[in-house]
This record gives sequence, C-alpha cells and structure tokens, in this order.
Amino acid sequence: MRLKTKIILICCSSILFSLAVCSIVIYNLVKKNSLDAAEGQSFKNVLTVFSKLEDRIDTLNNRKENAVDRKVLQYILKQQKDEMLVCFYQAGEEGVEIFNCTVLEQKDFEALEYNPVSDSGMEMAQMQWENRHFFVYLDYLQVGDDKYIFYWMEDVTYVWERMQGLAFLLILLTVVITMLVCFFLFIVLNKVLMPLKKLNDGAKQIAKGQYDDRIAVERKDEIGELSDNFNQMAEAVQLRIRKLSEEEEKRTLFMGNLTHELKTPMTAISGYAKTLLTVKLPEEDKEEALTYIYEESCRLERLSKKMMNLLLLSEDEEINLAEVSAEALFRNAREACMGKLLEDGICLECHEDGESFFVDADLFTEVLINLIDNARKASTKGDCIILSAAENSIEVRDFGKGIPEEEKERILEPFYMIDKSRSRKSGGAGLGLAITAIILKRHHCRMQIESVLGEGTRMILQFV
Amino acid sequence: MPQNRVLIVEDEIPIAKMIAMNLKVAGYETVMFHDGKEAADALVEEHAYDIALLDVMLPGMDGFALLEIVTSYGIPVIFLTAKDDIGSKVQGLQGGAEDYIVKPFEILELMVRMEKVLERNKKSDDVIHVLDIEINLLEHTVRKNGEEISLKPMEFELLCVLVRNKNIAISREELLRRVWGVDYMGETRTVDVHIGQLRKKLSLNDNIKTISKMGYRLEE
Repeated sequence: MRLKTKIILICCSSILFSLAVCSIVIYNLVKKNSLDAAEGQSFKNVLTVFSKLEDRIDTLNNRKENAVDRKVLQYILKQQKDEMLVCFYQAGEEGVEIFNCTVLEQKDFEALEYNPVSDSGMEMAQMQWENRHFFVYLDYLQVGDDKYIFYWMEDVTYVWERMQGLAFLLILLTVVITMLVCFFLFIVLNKVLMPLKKLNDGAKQIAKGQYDDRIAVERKDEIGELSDNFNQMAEAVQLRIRKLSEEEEKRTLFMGNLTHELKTPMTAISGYAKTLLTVKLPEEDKEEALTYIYEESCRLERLSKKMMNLLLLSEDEEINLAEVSAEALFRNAREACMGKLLEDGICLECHEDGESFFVDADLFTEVLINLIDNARKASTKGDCIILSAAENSIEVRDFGKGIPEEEKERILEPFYMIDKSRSRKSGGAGLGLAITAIILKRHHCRMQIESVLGEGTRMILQFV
Repeated sequence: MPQNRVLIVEDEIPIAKMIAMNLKVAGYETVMFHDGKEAADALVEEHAYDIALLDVMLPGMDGFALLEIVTSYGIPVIFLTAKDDIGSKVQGLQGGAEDYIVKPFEILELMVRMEKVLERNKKSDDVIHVLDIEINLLEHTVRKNGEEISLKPMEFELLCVLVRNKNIAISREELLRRVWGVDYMGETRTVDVHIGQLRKKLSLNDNIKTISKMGYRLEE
C-alpha cells in the first residue's frame, strides 16, 4: 500500500473512532438529561392532575358521607376530560374499568415495570406504544372502602424525536469532519511526500546508470536531509564508478599494449622459424632470419623481465628504506650506464655534496638508470648528461631534443613511446618510466618534468 | 614470367623483412617502407604496385590514412595488424581494403589471400611459367617444352598450388585442404599418390622435394 494511503487511512480511522466515541457519550448524556427533565415536568403534571381529582373527591365527600362511589367517580373523571387518565376499580384479582379513553387494557399497564417515584407513593414506568413514548404514573386511591387504581400517561415522544435529531446531527458532523480531515491530509501529504517521489525517481535513474542526476529538494526537514545525503551518495557513487571505469580503461589499454608488444616479436619469431623450416632460402637470408629470431627473443626476455618488475612493484611488497649517500647512488647508476653512454659518445657529469637520501638503494638506482637511459636516447653524440643532488631532490638533466608539451602527461603510461621506431631500435619497450613512476610513488617522491623542445629536459625528483 | 610487385609498409622491421623474404622466394618483387609518411611520399614518384600490405599502427601516418592514398592509385590493399577489434576491421574494410589479416599470421595464409586479391583484381597472369613448364589457367592446360601433357583435374590443381608457392614447403594436410577442399575426408596418402603422378608425368623428380615433417616443396 502507498505511504499516503496508509497515513490517510490510519488518521481517518482514528479520527472516526474518537468522534464516534465522543458522539456516543454526548448522545447518552443529553438523553439522560432530557429524560430527567421530562420526568420532572411530567411528575409536576401528574401531581396537579391527581391533587385536582383528590380535591374534587374530598369536596364531594365533605358535603355528604360516602357520596363518591363508582358512578360518581366515573362522572367526575368524565368531567375532567383528561384522555390520559385511566381508572380501574380493584376488586380482588380482576380490575373493573371505570374510565379509559385509550385503547390499552389493564393487563397492558400491569405488564410494565414500575419504579417508585421519590416518596410521593406513586410509581412510574416507561412505555412504548406504536412509535410513541410515554411515562406512565400509577397511583392508588382509597375512596371509602373502595380501592381504585389510576394510571396517568404523559406523551414524551418529543424527547426521542429530539434525540433522533441530535443523533443525526452527530453522525453528520462525524462524517463531515472525517472527510474534511481526509481532504486536508491528502493535500498536505501530497506536498510533504513530493520530494520522496523525486528521490524515488532519482534512485531509479541511478539504478539505470545515470549517475550525474541530482535531486533538487530545498527543505530543512528530514526529507531535505535525506535528499542531501542521497545527493552525496550519488556523488560518491559517480566518483567511484568513474574511477573504476577509468581504471578499467587503463587496464584494457595496458592489456592491449601488452598484447601488441608480445604479438609482434612472437609473429617475427614463429614466422622466421617457419620460414627457415619450409622455405628454400639463400645462405645470407638464413643467417638474417636466425639473427632476427635471436633479437626478437631477447626483446621478449627484456619485456618479460620488465613486466615482472612492474607487477612486483605494483603489489605492496616491502621496500628496504635505508640511508644511502648520493655518491653511492650516482656511482652505481654511472657504472650501469657507462657502456651504452660510451657507445653513443655521451658524457655523464655527477654533482653531489655529501647529500644522502632515505631510499631503497637498488630500486632507486634503477630509477636513475632509467632516467639516464631516457636522457641518453634523447641526446646526440657529444652531448652531456648532468646528474646532480640537492638537499631534498635529485635532478637528471639532458640537452637533447626535449619532450613535446602534450606528451608530458602520457610518458608515464606503460608502453608509451614518443618515438616508437627509435625506441625499439634502442631496445625499449616503453616500460622504463612506468616502472620509475611506481618506484617513486613507493618512495613518496614526486617527479617534476621541465622540458623545452630542442633544448633539453630536466627530470627533478622531489622528496616529500 | 613478369613478377607481381608488392608494397610492404610495416614499422616492425623484422616482420617486414620476413614477409619480403618469403614473397621473394615465391616469385614476388617487394618494396619495403617502415614509415607511413615516407611510403606516401614515395608513392607520388613510383606507384606501379600490384598489391600493398599495410600495417595499421604506423609512425608518420597511420594505415587508414595511407589506405586512401594507396587505393587512389588503384592498388589493392591487405591490412596486416595486431589490432583485432571489430571496429578496426570494419573501418579498414569499409575504407576500401581488400582483406584484413591479424597478427600473428601464417605466411601461407597471407600468400593465399594475396593470390585471391590479385585474381580478383586481374593482376595475376593467366599463364604461369615455371622451369620449362607453362601452365595456362584459362585453358586448363599444361605444356612442357611446348608439348601438351594431360593431367587429371586434381593433379592440375595440385600443380597450381605448388607453383604459386614455389620454394615454400606445404604440408600434406594443407595441400589436401587447398586442393581437395575443407570437406574432403581422404587421407594424406592421396596427396602422395598425386605428387608421384606429377613427378612422373612432368619429370619433376628433382624439383618436387619431400621435406621431412613439413611436406612438399617445388624448387626452381
């Protein structure tokens, strides 16, 4: 069931219930009061009637002893012309009707339940006759030796009629108030629950994958809070998803590059091997094919070694940080690079002043070797590469061709090579800087690249 | 026999050389470029090629751009690439390439596809000369020293495959597939019998060599 329907149903039924209880209480109170008032009134009336009758009888009896007998009484009653007065003469069990204008018989009266009325000696009962309500008063009168029974009826139907009116009014009021409350609640709830609908729609959008939708609910209540939190959640989800898909994209790109890097030497190796096996080749071609098989397998070996490096470093393996002097780092790097540098006719200058750094010596040497190697590839014969240490940084500077502005971001990506064919020739796979970046990250060290096309590049490693 | 000229644009020198090596022995003339831009520039001067093999990822100019230039000279193109995603294939083929081969590929597959492309583009000859044998593909006749020699249909097909891939060994399974078709359920023994017939009828005992484990090779 919808929340709105539920709230309206609960509110309306509780209001209906309380109104009904109130109405019933009010009805009963009013009924009791009205009946009491009617009773008082009718009691006054009956006293008047009976005292008048007794006066007549007394007057007649005073004039003459035992003047009043049944016939006289009948006459007196007829004279009084009171249609509500009924009189029976009590003789033993049977009563004799003396005066009766009603259609009722003595047994009808006797069937009623009488209650004594205060200390007047009279008794009273309520009677219903053909949709009319009566109070019936009973009085006994001793005239001489004769005993008479008088019944006097007062029509109190008006009380019931009034009560009916009241009941109708109460029911009407209950219904009208309930309906009004319903209507009011409907309007208010619509307004209050509108943001929930918006929230619901927003959640549906997110479920469908539309993460950039936000909900505009300007309210200070819980729903406003909820929608604020909802928006924050959507924001977080969006960020997370974006990050995930970026990572996914990067991984796909990485895998694509890796496959390409693997496929090319594999194609060459298997192709040359097959050629050697199946084709009748001249001697020099055979030699060339074998050379290529050897070179391409070396390339695969280098690639797999670097991939292992990259994977091991990516995992959170411990690195051995220790105080290492710049002199030692530079010496190691220089020893590793010297061969190739000499081959290309490039010199390497090292400047340090007793600085030392808190690093993993092997890994950091690898970083320097990578950077010097890149600098070497960018330089031409006769150029110099300068390796210098400062208090909190190490700089590798070359005077080669420099890095184009738009490539600066990308050179850290695995397999990225600015000059693919040239890098290949010099044995690169495009992994050096990617490995460097990971090592530096593990050292909490930032790499700053300053480069001017045609003038050279400065790679500054800044320790934080 | 006039040789078909093949333009190879492939930045991986080992692969380019390997293709060239194989095509050369099979009787093609090859010209290699390792840079898209260089190839495009050279085409302006010299564009008498029968077919071009292009890599997609090239320095200088990518394969798709080069494709337009090469096809504008009426040279049919086969793409050779490591990119095996559908998008690249569709782009390549819709751009006018005749075929698309994904690395790593078999040289034999490349040669078959090249033959088909050449046939479609009417660049292959109807008459093939090898040694002292003349094969007329239209007439389905074989002449040795001008004298017609009668061959059964399967023997003729087998000879064509061997001649087209001369100097390259072809396995019995491969021959069975290319001559008798994929569905043929026969044994490789069938191939041996037909080779024997060819050797006898055309006296090619010295030229059709049995290469151990690899199959047969027709040597010139």
